[in-house]
Amino acid sequence: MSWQIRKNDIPILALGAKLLSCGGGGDTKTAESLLMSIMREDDVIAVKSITDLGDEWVAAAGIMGSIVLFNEDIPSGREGIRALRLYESVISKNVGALISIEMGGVNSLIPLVIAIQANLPVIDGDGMGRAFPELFMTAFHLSEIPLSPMVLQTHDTNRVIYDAENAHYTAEMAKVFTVKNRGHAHLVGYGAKGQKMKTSMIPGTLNLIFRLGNVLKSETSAGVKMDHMIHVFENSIYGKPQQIISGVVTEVRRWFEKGSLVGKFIVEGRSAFSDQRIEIEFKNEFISIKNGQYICTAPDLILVLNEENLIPYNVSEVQSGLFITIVAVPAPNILRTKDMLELVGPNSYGLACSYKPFQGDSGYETWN
Amino acid sequence: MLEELLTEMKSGAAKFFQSYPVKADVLLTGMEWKNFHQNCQIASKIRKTGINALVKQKSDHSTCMSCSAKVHCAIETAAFSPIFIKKRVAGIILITPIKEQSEWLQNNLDILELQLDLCSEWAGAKLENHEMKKENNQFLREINGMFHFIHEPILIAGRDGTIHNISNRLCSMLNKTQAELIGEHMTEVISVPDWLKMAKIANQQEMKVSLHTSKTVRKSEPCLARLKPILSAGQIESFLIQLNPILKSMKKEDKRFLYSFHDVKGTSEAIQRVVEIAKRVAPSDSSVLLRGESGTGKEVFAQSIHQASNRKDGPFIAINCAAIPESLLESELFGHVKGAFTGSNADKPGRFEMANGGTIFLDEIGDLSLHLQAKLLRVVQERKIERVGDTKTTPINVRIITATHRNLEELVSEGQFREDLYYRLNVIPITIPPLRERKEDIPILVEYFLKSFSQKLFRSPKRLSKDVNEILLHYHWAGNIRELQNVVHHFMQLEIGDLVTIKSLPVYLSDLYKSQVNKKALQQIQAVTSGRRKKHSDEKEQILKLLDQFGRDTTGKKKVAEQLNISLPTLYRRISKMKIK
Amino acid sequence: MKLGIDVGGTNTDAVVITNDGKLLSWSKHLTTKDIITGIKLAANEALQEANIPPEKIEGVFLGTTHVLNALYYPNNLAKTALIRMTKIPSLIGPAIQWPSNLKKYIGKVYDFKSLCDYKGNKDDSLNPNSGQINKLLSDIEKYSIESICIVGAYSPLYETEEREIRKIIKEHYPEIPVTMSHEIGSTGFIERENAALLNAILSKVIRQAMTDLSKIFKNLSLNCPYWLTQNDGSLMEIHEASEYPILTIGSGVSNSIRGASILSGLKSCIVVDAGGSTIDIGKIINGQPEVSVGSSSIFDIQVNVRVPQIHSLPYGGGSLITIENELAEIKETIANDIEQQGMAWGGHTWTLTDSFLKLFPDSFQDETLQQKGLDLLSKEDCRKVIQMVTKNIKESISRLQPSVEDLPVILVGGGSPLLANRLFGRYKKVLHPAGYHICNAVGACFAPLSAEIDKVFWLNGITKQEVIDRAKEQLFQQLLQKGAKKESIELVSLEEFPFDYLEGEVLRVRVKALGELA
Repeated sequence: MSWQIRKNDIPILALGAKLLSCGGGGDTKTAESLLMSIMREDDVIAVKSITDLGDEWVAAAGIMGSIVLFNEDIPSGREGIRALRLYESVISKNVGALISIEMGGVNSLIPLVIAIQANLPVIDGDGMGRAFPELFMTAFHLSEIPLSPMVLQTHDTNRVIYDAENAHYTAEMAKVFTVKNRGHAHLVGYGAKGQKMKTSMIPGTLNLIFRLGNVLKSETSAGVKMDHMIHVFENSIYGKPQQIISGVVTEVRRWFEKGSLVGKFIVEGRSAFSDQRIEIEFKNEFISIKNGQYICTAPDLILVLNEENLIPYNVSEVQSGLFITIVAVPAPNILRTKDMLELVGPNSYGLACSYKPFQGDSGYETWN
Repeated sequence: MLEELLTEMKSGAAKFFQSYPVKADVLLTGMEWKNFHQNCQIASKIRKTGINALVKQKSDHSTCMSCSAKVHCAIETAAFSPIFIKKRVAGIILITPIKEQSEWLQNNLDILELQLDLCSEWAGAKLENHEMKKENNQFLREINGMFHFIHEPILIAGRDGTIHNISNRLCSMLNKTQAELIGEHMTEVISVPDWLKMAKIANQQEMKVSLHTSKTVRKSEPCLARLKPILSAGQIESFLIQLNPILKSMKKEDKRFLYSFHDVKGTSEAIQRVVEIAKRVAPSDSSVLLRGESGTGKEVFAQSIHQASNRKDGPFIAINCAAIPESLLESELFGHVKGAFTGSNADKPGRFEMANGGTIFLDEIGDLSLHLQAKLLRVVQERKIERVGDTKTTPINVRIITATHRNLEELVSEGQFREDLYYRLNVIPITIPPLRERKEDIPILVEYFLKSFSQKLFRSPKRLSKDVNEILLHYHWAGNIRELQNVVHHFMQLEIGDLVTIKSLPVYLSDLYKSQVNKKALQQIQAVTSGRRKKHSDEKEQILKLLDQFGRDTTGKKKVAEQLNISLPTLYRRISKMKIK
Repeated sequence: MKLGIDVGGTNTDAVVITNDGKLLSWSKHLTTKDIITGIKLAANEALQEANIPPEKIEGVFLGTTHVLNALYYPNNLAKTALIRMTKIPSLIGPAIQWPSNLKKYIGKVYDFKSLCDYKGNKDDSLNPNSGQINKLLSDIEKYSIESICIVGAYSPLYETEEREIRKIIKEHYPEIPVTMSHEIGSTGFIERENAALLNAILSKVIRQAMTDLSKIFKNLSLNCPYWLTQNDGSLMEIHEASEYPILTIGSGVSNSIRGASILSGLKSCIVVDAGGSTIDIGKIINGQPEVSVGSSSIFDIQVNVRVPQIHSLPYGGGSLITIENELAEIKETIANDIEQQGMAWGGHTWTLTDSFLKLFPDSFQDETLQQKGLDLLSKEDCRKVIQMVTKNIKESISRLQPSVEDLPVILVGGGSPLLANRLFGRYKKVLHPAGYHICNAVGACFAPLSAEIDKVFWLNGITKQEVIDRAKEQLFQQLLQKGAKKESIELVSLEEFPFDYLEGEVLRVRVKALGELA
């Protein structure tokens, strides 16, 4: 069953995308402004769900590099469609639908920009189910959809990476190109037939950020919003979220380590959580919740929210004195299996612990 | 802190003597003395005795002359006065002449004496005030810390009823935060008459009060209050109060888990539309008829409607009309009196009576006999029941939700279902779509069952191979969600690794895959699936075989149903249809 | 001796205060529409009452929400031309999601080509913008453009292009205000453009106000520096303020927090400022009000300008109360003047203040009060209103409390007598200092000088430490020039943000220093 995205939905999707990004994924502001600039009131983007996929060629689109530079050196807005056209000429095929590489942050919106310009549908799903720092940390990669051929496009230059040996190598080459060319680039890659994409992607995530965005935008108390947010996640491929703590941020430490924003902070519980103290670590995204021992780690989702309105914070926005609520959400199972954990588990972030699935206060009941 | 105080005292002391040609300095015990020798013999004497001292001329003063520091000491003429706190010497006021005025000081020491006394008294008061402030602050922190720390449900209230402090423990009993309650009036915690009574109590005692435990409604709980008035000068200033609930446990544990609409999984328009309708009718008392294939979750909807209604605090009673032999069903529904039939050796209420004030859910209503249909019609019309063997009627207040997978309209036209009853029950019909009509919900359902079984069966998280994924997405799912659940259960038990492969699927599904693997059209699975149903006689044989294998008691039948991927009621229905004994 | 002035929504207060914080006089006038007349009357009266000759006043310190109000009621703002300098013109339009009553002031948009490469090396052989510049210059007159805003991609890294364009414009139109984005905000093109555009469209209003103010103070024979407090609570001289109106929009709140700290003598405390339309709750630690980090928003417009970190409850003493579904509700609407419209003063609207006065009639010592006017109100309804208000205030306070040790709470603002002794029991420290109603004016007098550098540097042959040291030195010089006491200057924050995905090392440095006025 397909649905449609309209101009009014864009700010909602942007907000939901920020929530699912777990603090990383890149600020959505520039892409949101671009969409708001190019969409007319009566424009629609068709969304295909998992059951609508068939023979069409599907390609993933997004941006890579430094989000700070992307937001400073604003795009002309035509990079994405140029990348798509180049990609089509490389594979000598027309792309029939676009999918997001990562449904979290700016890359939730980039496929929409190209979709509106190329008049293509987008797929309700993505490769990561949240935000991760590297191009190869995808379910596509896990299902052996090759990242290459991949097209990179900046303001004024482009590059095609043909049949590279593996996604790691392709990603490495793409990074070299990006560093040489003003620090950010649009990309199109991970192409596959609809049938293949259907069983490889993480499904329903575009619909999820839309539902989450609607909850966050609603004019109601934080308590009611929290209930609604929990219900939205419960009715998804994620799991039942659990509120870990509400309190005040202290002792924020933040530094750069090999291109990643790394750090930690403490949350001192208030009211119902007084006398509790939680440590949060981050590396591009929020990666762990510690209370003496690890309570939750990546790839399970860690959300850091404004306590009053549940608007999410990203890792660079957290500062001492903020009053926040922390919520942990079980990730879809595909991210929690061994081969995927090698890419996105606690060890890949340098945490010295083995992965333990976050259960939350699971209300799992089977029928009968 | 102390440095600041010293600066303040020094400038204060200077003001006392500003009209005289002298300098005033303040020396505090325990702090460094600038411009003054730390080992001054006179100072140590004053500290011991508290006596004022005068040095008219250092060279004439015996103590000074015997002092080891006399060479380094810059003072020639000076007046000393001790500063007292609680009768102890805490410092010294030192008066020395300004340049070339030593003579004036020597001659006018008596004039300065009164001023010096006033100044040291002022300094003492200042110091004492500082110490008391510090002590008071510490005391406040301890008190506030204590109320955070202890696990006793206590509070301190002023004579006027202001809550000055309240423990975290008591706050959580009241479902409020400390910030909310501190500063509020006692009547936020207990009833007004209780407080009026309490405020008159002059000695330690206990009394029963009712405690407000709900945030929104004025719900109260009986409580035992231990009370200690704190007096000051014979007047009650405040009360220490401990509040212990009398009933330890509420009836919460008794209430079993019921589904609510949040347990209905799926984002497809097909299911969401039905949920919307059900949510809308839930608050009313109208009868609801739930329709849909078996395994679509009719009972989940029935419970959800109950939970979203005003009756949610009342009972929810479910009964499957097909699962109980007709002879027993009547007394099961309406109850019986002692001696109504053989074996009825006591009065027993029926399900309708048990559901009084709540909801009754009658599943498989299409299987009800005409005789019971007539009885049910009476209940529906008159809202009264009569126990079997009794002539007395009892009024009941019950919402009726019914369900069936059968075509009631057909049954009505065949005369097997009463038309009048049909219209009574079918006030609001809700049809739950089969799974094959909302296949985009399959990933959510699969993921839900994956997580729930891996937790229950202590299995590591698993994901599906491409082939398995494809089969689950394309399969016909005649047994709907229940069948899907069984399939997930099946492979979660069998699969050891992280990846669920075809091999771990139930045989009938993996066979399907094998037979299809060379043909590319997966859509055909659907066609084959619909033809999967075995002929009536085959099925009967299979059921018999399985019944022999697992036994004919309820547990055995449950296993049989599981093996066949059908629900227990469906099994019962088939058993009766096929006249299996 | 200092003259402090606070222009509030209803009243303009003026105080004369000694350098060590002793209050000498106070006067109050209704705020006039032009704000100037009210200031003149109040200042004159305060000076007379203190019996101080004008030459004894060493500085005038002004806090006002005038600029913010100009955005609330946009009227006669400056018609602005926007110049964007990018590699390739972008499809992203300017002022997306702005309210239309502000957006209409953006008259013309010009896309200039940035000639620098991303390292800031300029290719001088090209001059493709000359045609456009000529067009702009002729358009200024043709379309009566009143203000210019220049936003260049990467201008926080290199500002030369913005400066060059400004220079050309100023050669032809020396009087026209020109906003350069690198002076307003840091990296993040869209937010910086938003802030710079707001600054540009406000330039006319602020220029007028600042010119008028200077005139008044001159007429009062006040020949001392005139200061305005800015968003972060520090001071800006009036001529400087007229270039950067956007930096003054949050001025009122930080003044009240600082004022509360001065009046109570506590350097660290939590301040509750109960005003007519809002109740603001903030914190001051070691004499510095806390400010927010990162972007903030003004009317939902994202800008990267720092504003005080304040918790604002959307109602105050003048808020109207209604009963809906048997529940008392506080509306966002405000009585114009509660002393006219409030029931306690014989009016017909039920305000928050009335609710308090019904239960606690002695809160205000005001002989014009008529308790009879409150007879129509039910005690129970009023109690509910008060409970909700105090609950919200207490919750906001508890959020700001550090966990180790509770800070004392200071109540200030015109509505604070309603709250005194009403918030907590005796185990929490709550102070209600004398002068509570004029803490904004008092706070303005003790605001510090500040200097901040937020720039991106290429580390070409210099070390990070050198960059930071140079920035620090620059700040110290700036502060000394502004008139800070040398020994009082201290660095209050130093943040570094390295960049990834670029060849060579790039570093964004944000350094801020404060100093006391000598």
